[in-house]
Amino acid sequence: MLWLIFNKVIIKNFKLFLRRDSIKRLGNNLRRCRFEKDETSQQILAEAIGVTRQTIISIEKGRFVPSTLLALKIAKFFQKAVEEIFFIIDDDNQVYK
Amino acid sequence: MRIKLILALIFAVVALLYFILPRTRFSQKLKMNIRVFYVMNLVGIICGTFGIVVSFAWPDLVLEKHYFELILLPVLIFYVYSAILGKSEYRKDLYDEKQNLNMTQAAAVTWPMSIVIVFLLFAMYKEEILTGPVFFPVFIFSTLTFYSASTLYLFKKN
Repeated sequence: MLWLIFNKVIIKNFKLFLRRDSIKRLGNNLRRCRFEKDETSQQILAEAIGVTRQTIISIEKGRFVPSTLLALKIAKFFQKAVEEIFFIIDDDNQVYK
Repeated sequence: MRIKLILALIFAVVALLYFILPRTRFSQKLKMNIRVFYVMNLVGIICGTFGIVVSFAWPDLVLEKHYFELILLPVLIFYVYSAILGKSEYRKDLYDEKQNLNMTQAAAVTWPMSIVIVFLLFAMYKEEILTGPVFFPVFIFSTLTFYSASTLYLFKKN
């Protein structure tokens, strides 16, 4: 019983702590949106919203979570709603829009 | 004595530029793009590493002959350049939010690292590898190198 609690609570949470990607994270359709809009390059998008290209690369790869302001700027650039570009991915890879 | 005067003059000019330039239209021409960001951090790494080497090679001369200030000068100029841009009336955002985040992360990593550096310096002084006031330049150069390197690493990696 104790082992079960230990396994369920401590080890699982520790694994979650170590594997940060397994917690809820932000997914995006940025790459698809760029290609849908005349194959816009990362550089053009970056210049349009006032960030560096490295930032766009990081957002696309899901390594960097943009601020609300930046997400809105991106959405405005593509003339879409923020939810059409960004969404939440659960630990079971379930997508929430 | 002459080098002291030159350094004092440079510092005075830099300080003057910091107060005057942001109010002029010339600051419109100054840019903070990704290249400046890379170069600023690369200069930090190069000057920091060079400073560490010089501090260990000539521990007595690094403060006496003002090598310390001379080596730090390029870094200072870059930091003042970004400060001028930050103060300018015509500025846009100086860094984007990822750059800001990476610099904050680098600072957060450098802080515990600075404690490790102090421990190492303490050990070196205890073993008499270093003597005199050279701990200060070694500390500044080490933290500068570590901060610049971690900023660049985090910016490229994340």
